[in-house]
Amino acid sequence: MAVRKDEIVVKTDNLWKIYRSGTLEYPAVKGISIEILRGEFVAIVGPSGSGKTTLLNLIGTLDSITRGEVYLNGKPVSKMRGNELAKFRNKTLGFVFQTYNLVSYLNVLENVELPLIASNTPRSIRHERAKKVLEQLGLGDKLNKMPNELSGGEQQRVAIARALVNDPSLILADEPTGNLDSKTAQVVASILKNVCDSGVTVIMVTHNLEITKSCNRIIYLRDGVVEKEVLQN
Amino acid sequence: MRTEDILWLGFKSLKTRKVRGALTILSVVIGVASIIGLVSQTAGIQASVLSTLQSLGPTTLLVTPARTTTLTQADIARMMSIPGVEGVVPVVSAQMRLTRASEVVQVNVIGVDSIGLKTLLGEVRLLDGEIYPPSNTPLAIVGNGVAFSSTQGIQEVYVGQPITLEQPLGSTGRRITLQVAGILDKYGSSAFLSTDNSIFIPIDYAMNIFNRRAYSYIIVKAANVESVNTVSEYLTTIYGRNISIINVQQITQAVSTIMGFFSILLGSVAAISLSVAGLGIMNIMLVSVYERTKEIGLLKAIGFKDRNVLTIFLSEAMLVGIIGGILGIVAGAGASQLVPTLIGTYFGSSNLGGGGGFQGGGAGMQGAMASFSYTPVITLDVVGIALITAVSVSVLSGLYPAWRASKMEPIKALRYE
Repeated sequence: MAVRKDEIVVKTDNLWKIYRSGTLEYPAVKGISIEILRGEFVAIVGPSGSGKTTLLNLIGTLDSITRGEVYLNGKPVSKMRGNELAKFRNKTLGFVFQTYNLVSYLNVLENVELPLIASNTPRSIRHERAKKVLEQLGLGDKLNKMPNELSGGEQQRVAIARALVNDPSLILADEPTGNLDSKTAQVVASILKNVCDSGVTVIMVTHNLEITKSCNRIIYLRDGVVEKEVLQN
Repeated sequence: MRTEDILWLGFKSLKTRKVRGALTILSVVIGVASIIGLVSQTAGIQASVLSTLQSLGPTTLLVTPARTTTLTQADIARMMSIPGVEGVVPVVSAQMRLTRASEVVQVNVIGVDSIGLKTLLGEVRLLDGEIYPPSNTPLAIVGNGVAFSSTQGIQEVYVGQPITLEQPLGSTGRRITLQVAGILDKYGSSAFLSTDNSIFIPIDYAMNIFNRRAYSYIIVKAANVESVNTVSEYLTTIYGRNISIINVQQITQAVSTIMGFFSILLGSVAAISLSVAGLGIMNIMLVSVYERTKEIGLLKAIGFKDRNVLTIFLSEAMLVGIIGGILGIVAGAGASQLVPTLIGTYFGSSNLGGGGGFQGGGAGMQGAMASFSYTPVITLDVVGIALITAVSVSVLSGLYPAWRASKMEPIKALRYE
């Protein structure tokens, strides 16, 4: 299928997230409106408390929206609930976390199969797909290893494989290189760049300005608002 | 999500936490084993008692003297004249000591004529030898437990061999010598008749050596089931409260009812231990839910529905119930076989006597436990109920922790440290 690079995959419209504690209110995201296209590799950067992760979680439907809307593939997500939301996440999104979040009692192949288990994919098909993605990421010889037998970089690659296995249109990565050394961080960044080149949109929250060099766009946040956006080649 | 995947994830998780999983399963094993062990004992005791009663036949009435009454030859004639009575078997019994090859054992000596012996035992199954003739001779038929040593099963008494019996201490100190005419097959014993630990001798000879003029009890056989009540009424009319009458049919029903209650009572006690196991499962699973908060957050982030998470945790609890239930059934079956042996050991294997005959008043039980033996009965019903209870308790205990897991918000769960 041809990839339409001008297709809007993510759109936030006057997006607000306000945390409440008693009578106090803490606005974390203040009316952010952005559009991200198919195949874009976008970095969200900013100091701690600028609302990077909150924005990512709102786009990822993990957190509830206080005001405004998030459109994913043109669909508003704020009204989605329960099973519909779970199914939507499973089909549309892939998550990569700083701490990898691999299930400790499942081996590499089984960890990658998890999203396919949630979508009722037959065992033989999910084995094949998980194996194929792992081989593409250079983990073909680690299928039966347990997470604690892998290095940090390998674990993160497994997590990326898990995010990719369901063919999502959007990958959300929260500090994916935060626990890795600079060399491994570059490897992970280049993997994510390759993912983008195949037509998948990647939004990455990071503190590591070095790896943002491979991004198409960098969105700078400060105090819950977009301070500036920088386009790169 | 497919059922096989839910079970697979539950099993994987259970397998990872080996020690914790094993301890949780052990608590279910103990509960189920208790149910199987205790209920099988009451079922075994019930079967043993009923079997003995049934062997006497539904037309049998046991007449034992009450108060200072004695039953003599005159009473035999009087009972025979009652309409509907087919036969009357007088029995006399006493406790004596037998010196065997290596040990001295206490036995019950029962005087009954050769025809009455058939009535008493239902069917005379001889391992060796023959029934003594209907005459006043010093011949004996010995029970299986008398001929064979209880500990090693070695035969110590043989057909044709003379045996010497002594009155127990505190009695007159009489010694008699009998010749063994036959050895009975294993009968098992009950609260009413300890066949295996008894020595049967001709009644006339027994009356002589015991120096008795009265019988210990009389077995009255009615012509048919319908005439049992009529015969019983006649006996009451003649003797009033001077005798006790045990109607086999009535007592069979009573025993069934009483043992049924016991079964429920003991089963309930065992079920309490299973409930405690349930609390343990709930506790362990709550801990597990807290420990796996991040994992739950991840599962929800990648598209697992609330009910998927709920069923994964419930499947883990169910597996604890199934594995614990099956192991508990095996353990309970094994332990239940040991209980009768332990009871036998506790009450002394050398004390063979004590349960003989229907002597004394009332139900005629005398030192029954000393020689009482039975085989525990494990029915499919009990196994099924125990397994279903184990699984139900486990699943119910896992319900709250699983519900908590399923209701976690993914963002909070992922942030959990």
